[in-house]
Amino acid sequence: MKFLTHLSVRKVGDDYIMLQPGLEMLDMARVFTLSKSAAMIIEEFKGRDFEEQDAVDFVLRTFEVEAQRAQTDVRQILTHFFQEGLFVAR
Amino acid sequence: MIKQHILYHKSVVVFLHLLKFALWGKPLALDKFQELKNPDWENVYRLAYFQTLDGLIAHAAQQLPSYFMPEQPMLYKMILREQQIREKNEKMNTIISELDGLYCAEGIQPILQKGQAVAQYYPDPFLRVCGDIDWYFERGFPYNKAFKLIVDLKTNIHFHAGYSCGYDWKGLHVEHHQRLIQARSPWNLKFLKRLQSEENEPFEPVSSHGFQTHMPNPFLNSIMLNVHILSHQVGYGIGLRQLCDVARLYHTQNQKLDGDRLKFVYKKLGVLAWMHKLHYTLVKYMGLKEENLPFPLDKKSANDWMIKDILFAGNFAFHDPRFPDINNPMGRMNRIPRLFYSFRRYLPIAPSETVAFPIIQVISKFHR
Repeated sequence: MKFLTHLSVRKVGDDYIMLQPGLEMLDMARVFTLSKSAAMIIEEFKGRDFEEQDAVDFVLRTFEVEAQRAQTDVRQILTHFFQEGLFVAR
Repeated sequence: MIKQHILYHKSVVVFLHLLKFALWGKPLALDKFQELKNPDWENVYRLAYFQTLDGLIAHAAQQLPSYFMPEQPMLYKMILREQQIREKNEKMNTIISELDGLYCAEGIQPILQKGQAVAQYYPDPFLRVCGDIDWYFERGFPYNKAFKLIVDLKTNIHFHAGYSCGYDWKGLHVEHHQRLIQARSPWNLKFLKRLQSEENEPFEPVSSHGFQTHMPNPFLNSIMLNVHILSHQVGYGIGLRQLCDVARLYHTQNQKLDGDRLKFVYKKLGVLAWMHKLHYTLVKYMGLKEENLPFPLDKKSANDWMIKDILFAGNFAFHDPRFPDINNPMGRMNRIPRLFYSFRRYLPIAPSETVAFPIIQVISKFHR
């Protein structure tokens, strides 16, 4: 899987905000508030192909979290990203 | 009541404070943001939008501690707008690169004016709201060849007042100018033409994110930007963005500017008194360090009418509430009283350009 190009993540105050590219209109539906781990997954993997296990390994390396919890969280995050259409269509 | 106290409005104070942070990195005084409610933020944002400074202001607002930031959805609106401006700038840079390549392939050297060229003076060029792409071509063969090139590309090209033409290219408006410095008085034009020819290197390369081309050197650029501001002020008015451009140029290029020579030029153009008032506005209200001005302020330069005019008028005075058009309540202001106001205001401090404005506007519609 691969994230859409030009996904933009920024830290605004205490929140991580992600914007979808192609902002012809000011569309609030293109703004997402992310958890820190979701934001870091995008930053880590944008612009390259990766698999779910790569993201799990990254979370395990970055956060102090148990493997089972990392697996569950990553799957939840990626499912949410899929639903929002943030991956390049194959 | 509102007219007299515009500089003390909470939203104006906050707007100017955020602008100083965006331009110079001046620390944000958090007390100014205490008890700032959503309607206040809406006013700040509206002001920034009308002055086409919303990219700078939106970014500055996001640097506040969370507690002082605007609430949603205003915050999201600012974030989105900033991103939108960034994306448009990226597109514009790509088109500048493309057009530069087309002109150069024909053996013409285009000179990028204003817009993306002056954006390079900003800490983050992508936050400056971009307008049109303005190219200068030397009068005669280069200008005519560039014109023919665009006509041959089947583009719908049209003429503008002021010896210019324009067309749309991939959704962006592009203009060709045959005068680098758009003074209106014929005597001033003659002088400026000589001045330009006396420069050893009137143009310098500019290389930015995604494009490479040429722009005027800082000396000519500062005259060009200032005369451009005046040319709009003697007409319908101008927004704060154009003043920010000059302020950033002074801040970043002051070592390269010959202040005595610039002062001589403005005196010769008959605009020195106006220049001092503009410089006062840059220092007093926009936070430019006085030592970065190219020449010292005159004692008589103090004024607050210029900043008030600009704050009321917005970008190119489209929205000046002091001159409402009763036939077009949501549209642009009523032009005739605004022109009379400008004429009276600028005649004593920039007489030649003020008198020439209406005459040349009419003549240039017929003579190209």
